[in-house]
Amino acid sequence: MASSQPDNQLTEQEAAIYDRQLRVWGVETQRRLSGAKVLIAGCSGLAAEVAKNIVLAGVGSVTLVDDTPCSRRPLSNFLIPGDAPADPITVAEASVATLAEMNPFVKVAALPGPPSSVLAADVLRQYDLLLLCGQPASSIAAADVLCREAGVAFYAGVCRGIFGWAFADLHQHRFVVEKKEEHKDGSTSKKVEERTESFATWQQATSCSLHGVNKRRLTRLYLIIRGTHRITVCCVVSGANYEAAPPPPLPAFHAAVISRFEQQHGRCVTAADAEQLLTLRQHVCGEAGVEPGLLPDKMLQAYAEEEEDMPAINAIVGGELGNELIKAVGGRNEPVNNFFLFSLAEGSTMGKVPIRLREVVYALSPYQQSVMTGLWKDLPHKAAHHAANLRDAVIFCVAPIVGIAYYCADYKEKEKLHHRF
Amino acid sequence: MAQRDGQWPYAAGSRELKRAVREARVLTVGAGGIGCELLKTLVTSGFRHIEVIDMDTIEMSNLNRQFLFRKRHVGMSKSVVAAEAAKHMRPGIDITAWLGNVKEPRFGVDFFRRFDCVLNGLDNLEARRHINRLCLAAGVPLVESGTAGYLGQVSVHLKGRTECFECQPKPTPKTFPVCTLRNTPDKPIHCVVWAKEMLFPLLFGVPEASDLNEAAAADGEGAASTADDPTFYRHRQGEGSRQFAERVHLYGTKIVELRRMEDLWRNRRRPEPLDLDVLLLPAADGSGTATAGDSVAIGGAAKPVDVASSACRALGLKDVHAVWDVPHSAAVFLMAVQLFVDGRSNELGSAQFDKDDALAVEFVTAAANLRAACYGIPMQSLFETKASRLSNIIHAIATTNAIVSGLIVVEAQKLLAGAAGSCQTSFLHQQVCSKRLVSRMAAPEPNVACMVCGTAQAELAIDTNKMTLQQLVDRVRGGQIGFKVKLDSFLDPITTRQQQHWKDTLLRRLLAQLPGGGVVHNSILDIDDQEQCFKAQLIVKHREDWNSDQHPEGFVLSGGLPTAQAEQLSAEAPADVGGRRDGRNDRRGPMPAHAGASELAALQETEDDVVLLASDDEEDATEAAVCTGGSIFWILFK
Repeated sequence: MASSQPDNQLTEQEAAIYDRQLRVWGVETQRRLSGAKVLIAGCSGLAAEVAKNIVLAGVGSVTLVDDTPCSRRPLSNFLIPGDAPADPITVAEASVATLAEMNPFVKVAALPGPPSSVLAADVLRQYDLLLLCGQPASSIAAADVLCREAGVAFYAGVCRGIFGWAFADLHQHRFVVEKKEEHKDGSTSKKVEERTESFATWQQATSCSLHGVNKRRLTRLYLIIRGTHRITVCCVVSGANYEAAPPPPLPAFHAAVISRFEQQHGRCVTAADAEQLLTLRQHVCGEAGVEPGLLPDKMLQAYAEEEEDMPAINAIVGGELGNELIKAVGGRNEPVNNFFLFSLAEGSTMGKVPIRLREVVYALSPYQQSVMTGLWKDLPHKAAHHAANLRDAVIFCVAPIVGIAYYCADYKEKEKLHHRF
Repeated sequence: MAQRDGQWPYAAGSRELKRAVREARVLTVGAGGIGCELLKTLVTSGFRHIEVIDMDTIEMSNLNRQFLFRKRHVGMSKSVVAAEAAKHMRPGIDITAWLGNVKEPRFGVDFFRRFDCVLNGLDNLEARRHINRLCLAAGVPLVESGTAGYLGQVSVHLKGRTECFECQPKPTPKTFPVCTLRNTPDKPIHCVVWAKEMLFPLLFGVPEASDLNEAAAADGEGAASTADDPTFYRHRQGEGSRQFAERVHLYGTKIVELRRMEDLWRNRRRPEPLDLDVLLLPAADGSGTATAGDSVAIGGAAKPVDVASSACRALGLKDVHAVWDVPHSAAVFLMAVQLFVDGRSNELGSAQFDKDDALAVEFVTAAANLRAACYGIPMQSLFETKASRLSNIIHAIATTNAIVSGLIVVEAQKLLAGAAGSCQTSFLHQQVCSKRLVSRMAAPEPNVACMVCGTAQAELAIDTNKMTLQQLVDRVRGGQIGFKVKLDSFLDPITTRQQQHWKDTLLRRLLAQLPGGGVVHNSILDIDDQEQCFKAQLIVKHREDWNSDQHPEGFVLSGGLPTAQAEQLSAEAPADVGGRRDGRNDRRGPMPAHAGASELAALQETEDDVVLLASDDEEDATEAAVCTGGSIFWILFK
């Protein structure tokens, strides 16, 4: 994302504080960061992690939106001190106070209203980047559309139980990649390459066809996310207008599925209702065109039933999101396109044979998965590679055989001549 | 802890785990980048009994990632401030801050044993090794971590189940050949290392720490006048700081000397000497910039304090990214020497290089640049010099630390949930790597050949103030464990002079009075019989109140020592040794406190040559042990 670049150099004090990170991403990224305005809606534990990360990194300004009173604060939000006064202070205001202390160079503010109040084009236009934390799929879908219109970079993140994921939509994103080249004399030089990456919308990323995708390699958390989107859409279609009514509370999947369930049966979900959840799985998998067995009951249940987030997973997803936000704003290095998925369930209990690197924690959305394009990329390099291989083959395999054959023929010829004369 | 591996990921939100987390005692080692994030994640995850150790104080450059600290905390203890901040986050928790080095004897095996889990957030190999060994000795699971830029790693070390920190050899920092540094540098880093490790100690620090002295003696054949004299580099009594600075500006005379060594320059470009007088001329003409020549009076008390702490400020050079030209480097060099001699005369002769000491860094940068100029090597800015190995600056950012802290807590929760089998080693990538940003793999099994965790441990209670080394060797080794100590052979690997020294002094000394701090409470004695593949560690417990009737020997050995394992030990994990014995090993069971006579007899069959080595440096001990071969017994003083 192009952001306004302040002309001013980093002050001596900034240089002292940012010393270590300047060594990681350089002065230019730091300058771009200090010009960026970030809006974060929803003050969950994940939002606290991301806000902390980007405030420490030194973005220009961070604005938080969440009007949940402190008495009902999410326990995983570490920005709110344990002895914070309860009402009427909101979680956003309490978090802002801590963030402001963390880095005096960053402007931190709280906006009134619920997280859904950012879903307006004129609000979004004042910022460079929007991050939705812990919001239902319907809000994510709506925010993505609005951000596209307003030209604002969009990120969303959700952490539930043992799952956590993030979604990115940077539209058309331009960035530079620095490559270190080592020369033969041992010296290194930097080569800067500019590239453009196009992103899919939320709608595309969650409802694209999975035809032709290797189902075994599909991250199952992605299927669940598709499910949440699908269910939310069902909800909207079946009468609930998310514009008028407050958006369904977190978690979308849980709320949507369980509320439908409760409407039909007039009671809460218990473990005995596994069959219902099974039907749901059939539905999600059938729609995605994959084997239902790919999505174990336990995993589905865990995602549906667990409402609390795990601070450890908040830290992991929040850290990766922080990195991505810095990449997006700094315009340096390739950002993830477009899902980051993390779960403790994926693969970790399968089988007893240890398989190295077995847990899948990141997968491109199938929309972006295109195996064939790689075939025609970088042809000169491939040709050179094959030629090099061929050269080795010629030297080590063909040459000895040909040489021996030549020698034998020569020997025979000589012998013949010898006998003749 | 029951094994509940099968339930793991879904047990993460269970009530049992929450209770286990609430009741667990965890130790966080280090309250720096990872430590701060870790404390935050622990506290929000529901951990209530936390202890944290750190020896450092807070610095300005910490604030960009160690978010529990504020500017007002600069100079205060990391562990104390971090504990306060964590308490502020969740007032009900029980958090204890320890200020000190983890290597201090008070953080011994007993200290570690109190915890359910130890979580590492350290920045150096030495301390990691130390913690690893203590955790193995105490039988406490260790979650180890490390970060560098976008890269990070988390691993679990569980005695007998997963590999320990030292099962795989760790890369040691790169070193450079000394002659390259002294005479023929060809990269900027050579100049920096030369300035930091040779010139700096020679001028201000402990001269013995520098290799430049011998260099001067070795190659000063032609011009013995200046460099041969070791006192040449020291500040002489009554000499003005400016005079001293100009005298040690070696780039004229020293380089001329080097140029005379024809052999060196046959295939290389000769270095160009720099003449100080010529250098200072254009600088003196330069507008605005104060030169060294103008500021001879700097040492006077009239100057403000912060000027005295930085040569750059005194000279008005502000941009740390700018590369100084040669006259500027010379000016900074002279100024830094002057400021050091005038302002910090009390440190002369003992100064240690510190990466946060602005003056020292400036001095090294200037000295390295001047040398680079002589040799035609590109010069570097202050910022670049600082980055290049001058210090062990770890490029650190908050996000990586946060991710790593999350991964650490996940592993800790697995351990507490009794799902140790699900523990994983995780790696962070900078870029998406085979579609992953975080790769995870099952924690590898222990390396049976590992010197550290392949070792079994037992406790040895003795009175370290009464027992001599000789007595320990005779009684404890000979009687209980079955090694026969032959004095003559055991002294083989050391020279005759050392042997004499040993016989005369060390063996007669009380354990507590041995060099290197002595064998005291919590010292670890290593036993290694290479023929039997027998390895053990004895943890010494000091005990004063001995009842001579109950324990005529004057010691108590407790805990299971391993059997002597045959060569096929690769099939046996160290933890199983006590229970699984076969063939000839049957005779040598794990030793109880008082072994029966028959067992003793069996043990004494093995009349091995035993070598006893002592050193205050573990590396030395290991080295010496390796070169002797055969059966070895060595003592590490901790």
